[in-house]
Amino acid sequence: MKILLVCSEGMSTSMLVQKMRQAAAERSLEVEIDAVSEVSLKKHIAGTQVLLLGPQVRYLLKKLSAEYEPAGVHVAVIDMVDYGRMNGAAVLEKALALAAQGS
Amino acid sequence: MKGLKSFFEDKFFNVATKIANQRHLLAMRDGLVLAMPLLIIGSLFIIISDFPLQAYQDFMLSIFGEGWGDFVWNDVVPATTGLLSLVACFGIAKSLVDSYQLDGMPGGMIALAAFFLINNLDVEANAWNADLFGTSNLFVAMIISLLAGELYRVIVQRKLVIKLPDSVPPSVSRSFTALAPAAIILVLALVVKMLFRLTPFGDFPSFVTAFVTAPLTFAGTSYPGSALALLVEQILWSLGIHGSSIVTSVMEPIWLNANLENLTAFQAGQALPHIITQTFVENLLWIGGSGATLPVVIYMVIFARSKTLKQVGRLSLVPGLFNINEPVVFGLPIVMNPFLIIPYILSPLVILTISYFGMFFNIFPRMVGVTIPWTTPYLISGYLATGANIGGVILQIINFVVAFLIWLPFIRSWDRRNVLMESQAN
Repeated sequence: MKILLVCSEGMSTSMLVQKMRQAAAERSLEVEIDAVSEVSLKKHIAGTQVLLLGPQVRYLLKKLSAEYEPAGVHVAVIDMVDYGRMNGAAVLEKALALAAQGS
Repeated sequence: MKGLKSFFEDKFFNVATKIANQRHLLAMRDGLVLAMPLLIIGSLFIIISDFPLQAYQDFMLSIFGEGWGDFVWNDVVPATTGLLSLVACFGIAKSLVDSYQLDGMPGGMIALAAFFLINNLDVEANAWNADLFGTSNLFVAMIISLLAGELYRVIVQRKLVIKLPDSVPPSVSRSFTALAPAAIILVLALVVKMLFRLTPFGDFPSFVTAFVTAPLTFAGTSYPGSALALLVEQILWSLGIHGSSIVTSVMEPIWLNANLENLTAFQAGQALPHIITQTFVENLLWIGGSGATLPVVIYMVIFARSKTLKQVGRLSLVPGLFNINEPVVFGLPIVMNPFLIIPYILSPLVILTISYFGMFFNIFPRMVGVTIPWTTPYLISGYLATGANIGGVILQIINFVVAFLIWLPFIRSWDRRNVLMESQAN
């Protein structure tokens, strides 16, 4: 299972990634979680099940959904407050729920 | 009221979406990003050679002798900062063609050739003026790369390419794909060059300097121009949209160019022409991120009484030192919060005003044009960006205090409100 987070430069999302990894480790889940910048997204998208957008780049939702949803990637925007408070557990939970939904 | 609010939000959101996904702006951004490491390395060397500490200069002089730092301006800068236009020209055209899901490499190559074609070789010396590759030609490079990239993809998409029989190996036939576009684009560039010889400008770059670079630089580095850009940036962030990314995608070419014009003047020991530059915006106005939030974070860590603010403060402190402030912006939250949006928009505008006029009247030093990464901690960034001038640090301290005072009443009452809410929740 691979979850990818994307924001403008991948900096603030990388902080959330650490919290999500912690949350995943606590539940001993085998999840690969990474943060990338919008520019380098293409290089890292292979194998991704869930693509989460930082709320500050939610204007990319339409474009990225159109691009990756046909390939079976779930695309969603991270909740603003979860994002701001760096609530890794909640974001991970929602990502897992998304992945469970489609496949 | 609610209807009006969501109307504005939708309008802003739509415009922001359009700008953020605008292909040519994205290509320009990607092309300039490609050159960023070179700009930063060139700047590092400049700081090393020009560090204004007498003891340090004497020490280096005693070891390496007279002119020990010349290698920086003569060797390193021309190969890093001085290549901006070339790198941008290639990078922008390649990114633009890539964005059409075509192979961008030939597009970048052709743009580069067109760029050389449109400039003038010094035939007698058989030499290109090194200035052509660097600062003086950035807008020429951008225009050429956008036009060449766009033409390239039109020609390839219209299948105006040389078709070889199926029996020819694909890699061989691919090498012919770029042939027709290259011929068409370069001939067009040549025609444009010849036509401009007939005009009073003499050549295309001079025309661009007079009619594009000069007016855009004038508007974009003026006080009202930069205040407007800043206002838009803050309003977008207030709606939870990455305002900095959107505003810089439009303003970066102008501000970067101003930065490098300052650097050229700094090298020549002349007065610095611009107040507003890329480093001015990124290193002076963003105190811990857009909206000058670092003073608030420090307030929250030390003085906040509510649990929420304490938690957000602790979470935001370390990223804030490196000018990343999404945790404050979304966690406090400032986004969609009419009360906290006031200081969030007001404080950078006040700082801009103080800094601009402080530099205008030469009370504070201007940015010398070295590129400092935007993640450089406050105070260090001001010191380096002004060419290791303590005046830059003093200005940053004043700005910090002013931002703190603007934020103080708002964050205090927000804290009180949270304390109240938390006690009610118990």
